[in-house]
Amino acid sequence: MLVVDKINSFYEEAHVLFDVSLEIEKGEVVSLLGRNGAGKTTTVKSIMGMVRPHSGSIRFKGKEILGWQPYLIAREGIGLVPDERRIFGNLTVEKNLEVGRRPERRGEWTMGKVYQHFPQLKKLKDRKGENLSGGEQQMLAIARTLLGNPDLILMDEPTEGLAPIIVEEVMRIIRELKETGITILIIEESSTLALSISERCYMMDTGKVVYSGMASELLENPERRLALLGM
Amino acid sequence: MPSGIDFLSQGINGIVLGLLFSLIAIGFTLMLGVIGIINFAHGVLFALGAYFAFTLRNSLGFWAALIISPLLVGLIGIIIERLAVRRMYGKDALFCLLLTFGIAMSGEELIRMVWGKLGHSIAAPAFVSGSIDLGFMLYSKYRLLLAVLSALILFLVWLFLEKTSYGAIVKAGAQDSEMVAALGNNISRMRTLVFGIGSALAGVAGVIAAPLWSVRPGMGNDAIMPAFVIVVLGGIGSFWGTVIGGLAVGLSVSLAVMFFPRMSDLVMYILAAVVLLFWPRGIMGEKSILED
Ligand SMILES: Nc1ncnc2c1ncn2[C@@H]1O[C@H](COP(=O)(O)OP(=O)(O)O)[C@@H](O)[C@H]1O
Ligand SMILES: [Mg+2]
Repeated sequence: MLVVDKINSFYEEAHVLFDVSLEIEKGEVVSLLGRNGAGKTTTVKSIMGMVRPHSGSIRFKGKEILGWQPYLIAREGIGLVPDERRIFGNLTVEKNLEVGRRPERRGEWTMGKVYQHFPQLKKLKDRKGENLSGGEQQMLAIARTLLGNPDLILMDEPTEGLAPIIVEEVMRIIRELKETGITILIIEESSTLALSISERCYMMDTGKVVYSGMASELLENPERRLALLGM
Repeated sequence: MPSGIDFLSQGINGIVLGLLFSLIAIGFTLMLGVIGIINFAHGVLFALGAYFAFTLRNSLGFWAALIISPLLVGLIGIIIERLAVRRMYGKDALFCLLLTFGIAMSGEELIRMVWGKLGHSIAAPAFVSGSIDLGFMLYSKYRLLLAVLSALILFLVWLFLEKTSYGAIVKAGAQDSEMVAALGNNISRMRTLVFGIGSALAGVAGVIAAPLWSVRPGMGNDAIMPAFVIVVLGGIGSFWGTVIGGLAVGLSVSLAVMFFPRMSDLVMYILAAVVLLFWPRGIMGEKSILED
């Protein structure tokens, strides 16, 4: 579904991604791990068109999307749940969801289905985004992206900064999404939870992919995992 | 010492004028809040609205001019954005300032070439000529119409921003346009549209103001300066801040006329300076996209 092939990305002069390659098949859940500053967010932004790689190729459903504008990439079917959630604080929950709605991308996710799936959002629908807790904001960020009915969701550190009990809740939702057959790339620093719901896993360090393989392998071998993370 | 009736009538004048000022500023603050640009050409777009109405009214009448002039000004806004302003996005704000300043200067010259150097007064439409008896005073019917129209158009802007899906996208874009784009919304088209709407709002304010202030090539300054002050007072991109700021400017100018008639033009600047001392982001201002 997605093939990232040897991309090199920069911020101004700073070379941040070095020949990063990864692949995601339809229906897979894949995790991308690496410590802070490894280049995970930059990889996600490169896929989304928010950072334009200087070389390499990104193919999505067979189309070369490198160089496309972000809104066209989103309309093609890639949904982003960004790091730090980026909720529109000046809008109510309902309006936040409306910004994510893409009526031209028909699919199962409608306002009704989102409210059914995230009952707390329905209760909070008239509350301003800036007045939500971290966990509520994360739910909203996921729901907002689902309303675009993406074929592939990129989730950048969806459990970052959340209380353990809320992390459980977010993971439960991701597991439920997985059941529906949607393709997901989960980014985390190092998470056994992310690995436990993934088939495959990539690890990055200092802008390079340093490991790719089965998630179970790393799950069973914590020392290896820590060594790869450079910890 | 002014009497109670003087206060009342100048107070009413102040509110009427304040609604017009709010209407003048709303498009300016929308562009600033959503696109992040200071549009110095706002005044000349206001003047164009008035001049188009001046030309169209004789043949088509007031109501047609009220609709068609702003549409023409909106179209001109869209062309300006597509051809020039969009090249400045993401660059230093100073470029856009200089560019729109240049557009304002050339626009004013163009008006002189087309309509002449001299000003023209425009009569209020016949159905609102003369005064109405409010019981305690006589009041100009046109000023009342002006207040009603300004309030109505401001209400339509509010409805658009608060009650439509596209309004939500516009407001979200003022906060985090990159995220709005990542959700599949065409930001570039939204900016063009907001520039067009802001221009049309400047134009409609010009149409409405023309019978009150008459038309002159330099009339744009009567709009751009209060718009600046109102944004300073109300905060960037805030709808209610703009309404409150507009009313504050209208009232202070009208009331000041009673005490220091020769200084009344200065009063709004003093007001802005005082407010800034206490609320650096304006009364309703929140952190704007101009600060990072
Ligand atoms: N906007 C930016 N400008 C310049 N450098 C950046 C920017 N964002 C991230 N970086 C740098 O790029 C590298 C990779 O960052 P990032 O992709 O955010 O890593 P991760 O998401 O894995 O923590 C880091 O060294 C970081 O300092
Ligand atoms: Mg990151």
